[in-house]
Amino acid sequence: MPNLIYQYNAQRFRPRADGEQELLLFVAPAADIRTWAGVPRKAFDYQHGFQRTLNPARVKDVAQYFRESPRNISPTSVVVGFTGAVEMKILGEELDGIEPVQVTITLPDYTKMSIEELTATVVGELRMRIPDEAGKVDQDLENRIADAVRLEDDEAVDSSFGIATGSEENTDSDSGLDSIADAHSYLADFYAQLRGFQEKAITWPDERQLREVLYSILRPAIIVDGQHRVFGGAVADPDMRFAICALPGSSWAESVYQFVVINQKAKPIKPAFLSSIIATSLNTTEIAEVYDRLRSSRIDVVRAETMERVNTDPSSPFRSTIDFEVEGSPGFLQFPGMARLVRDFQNIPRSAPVLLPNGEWDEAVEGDALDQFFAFWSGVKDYFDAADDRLWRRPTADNPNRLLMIVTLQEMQGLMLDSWADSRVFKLGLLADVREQARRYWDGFPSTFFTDEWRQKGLQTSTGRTIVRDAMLQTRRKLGEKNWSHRRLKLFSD
Amino acid sequence: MAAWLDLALLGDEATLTKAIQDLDGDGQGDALHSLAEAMGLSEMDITAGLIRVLVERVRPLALPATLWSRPIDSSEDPRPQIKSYFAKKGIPATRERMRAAYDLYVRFASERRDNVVKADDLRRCGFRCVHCGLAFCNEQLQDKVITSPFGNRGRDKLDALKPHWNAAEKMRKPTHDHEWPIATYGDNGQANLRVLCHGCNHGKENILALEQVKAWTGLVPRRAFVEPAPLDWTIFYAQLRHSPQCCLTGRTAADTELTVRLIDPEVAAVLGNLETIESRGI
Repeated sequence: MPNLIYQYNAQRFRPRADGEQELLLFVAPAADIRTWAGVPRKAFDYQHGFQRTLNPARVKDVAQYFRESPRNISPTSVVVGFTGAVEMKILGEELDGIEPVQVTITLPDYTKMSIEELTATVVGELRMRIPDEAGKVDQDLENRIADAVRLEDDEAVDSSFGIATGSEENTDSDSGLDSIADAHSYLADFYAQLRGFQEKAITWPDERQLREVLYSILRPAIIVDGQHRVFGGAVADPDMRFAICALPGSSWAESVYQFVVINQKAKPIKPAFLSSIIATSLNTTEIAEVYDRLRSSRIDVVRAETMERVNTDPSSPFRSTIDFEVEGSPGFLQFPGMARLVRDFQNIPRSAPVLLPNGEWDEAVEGDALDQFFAFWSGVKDYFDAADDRLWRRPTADNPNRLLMIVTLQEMQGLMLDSWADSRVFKLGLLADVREQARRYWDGFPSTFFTDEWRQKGLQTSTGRTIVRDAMLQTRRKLGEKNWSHRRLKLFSD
Repeated sequence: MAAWLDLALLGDEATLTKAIQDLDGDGQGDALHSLAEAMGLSEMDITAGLIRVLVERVRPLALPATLWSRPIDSSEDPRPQIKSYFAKKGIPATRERMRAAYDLYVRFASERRDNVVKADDLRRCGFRCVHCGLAFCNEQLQDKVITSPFGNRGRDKLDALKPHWNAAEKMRKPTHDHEWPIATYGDNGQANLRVLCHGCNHGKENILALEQVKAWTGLVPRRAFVEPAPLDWTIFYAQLRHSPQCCLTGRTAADTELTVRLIDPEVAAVLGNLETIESRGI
């Protein structure tokens, strides 16, 4: 199969005299960029890390804008990371630290490959990128394929993957930077999925969609910023030219990092920012005024206000623990995860109305939902604080613990509410009672459960969550049993 | 030369189809001539209308099937597909042809969007429906908080034929019309948007081919004969599309309100028995 070859004259320079990183500046037509650069796509699990990939509605808008008039151009540059083999030939003398070079990008015409060939190529690529994980998958292929299918089914519910829709769901996904740490596990899942297709254990998905995901892995570049401009431009006028700023020799991780950083900046203000900006720069009256104005502009401020209270209310056990994603913020519990924890609790009238005297938050319950939330968690805190005073603290290398982690908190809360609802022995009412019941729930639970090393990874996934919850459930059930230790559970083993 | 009448009097589909099929070359020529004469059209008009419909019928064959369904965010370049499709059909892929094919694909990839009529749009069209010249007065612009240069209209016109004066206020409000409907191949670009009154937009309907046919043949719904005036929206629209200026003064929708009148009061209100005239007032 003949290769596709693209050549551009570029200028190469180092933005920082004492830095290693080089940059390339050149000009390329939109359709070219679309062919040699990939955009991380939604659709498969490994992409949880990307906040915004390609939004077709936005591509259409941009295309329409460029089509309106030939005067409509994009004066800002598109940022790409060269992750694959790109050749550079020096064309002339360096002047003022700027070197003229010829950039040659060579890639096979992937569109001519069958889906089977393409998949095989990506499988090979992933074996190089994540050799250990891929090896493990291959050793335990059947189970890993089954896991990947389950994961896919569970995650299919939220197919938006954080594509900006302005809906509340959007900001609920974990932050991109956070998820990158786990990118390898998603890639391993994706690898298992591909192996599943190959082994015919899973039905091949929509070919077009799969192809795009495979292209994005194989192409020698990633569009870090400007993906909508490139795609919209290529649709409106394939020959339309863009200024490109490229990071040569960029690792895949580096490109993804830049992608997330830049794209997060382009996002609408997240509630976490909203809270911190408002709370740190205004007085009480001004805050009320601003919230009113934001509310009338239909910006979701309820969550921001709620989280502000969780972080500052003297009766909140999570005081000063919320990460508002600004420099200097002492918090460490991620805003979206904590917001979900609160929301799940507030949702009791829908998820477990049997826990409330009248099935809703009314006068029969002392205080409001948030007061109850504080009492509930204060009870949990009382127990673990007494058991080991290092537990209700920020986990660090010196103080490794797994209690104050989003996954743990969400599963603990789910477990407690479910078992209360199932047993029908207790209803939320007086704050003091709630606190006491929550404390008693954990009576006898070994604090070492949270200080021992959890060897299972990828706990944010639905499979991982099930493991955490099962482990807590088992440990509680077997309290006091001889010859039994939580350390035998899957959570604590490789 | 009453072939048109003999055909029109045939009562059922089977008999009519057989009668048309039985026409020989001369018979077809006579029938066409007679039909054209009865409707006040030239034979060229009829052939042009027919070609127009057939173009719509053939258009889906202009691009490879995969392209009609290509997602806008696909990274595969559609141009090689177009090229190989043309090659397969034995048609040279000239630069202009490639450009036009690509344009067709892009327009088609557009999705319908409601475009609100703004003050600038109204200024551009002189605060009139581009099709029938209906002046948008303050009454029609109330919910937009825009002041009309025509001020208040006050009383509606008395016009038995123009459907706008015999319908709810809504039908006289300005709307954005996609001249080439999104349902077929139009897009949301400025060039494809026109300000029409709701009535004319409604009369145009959404199906391009049908609309084009109606402009020439004016298919009349049954109820238009049974109920006394006003005209059916589609007939009114078709008449103005066919004859867009006053037959007496030559003025167009750009500067007057157009309506229609019957040429022969004894004949039904169908195309061929209508002429476009301007109405007094605004």
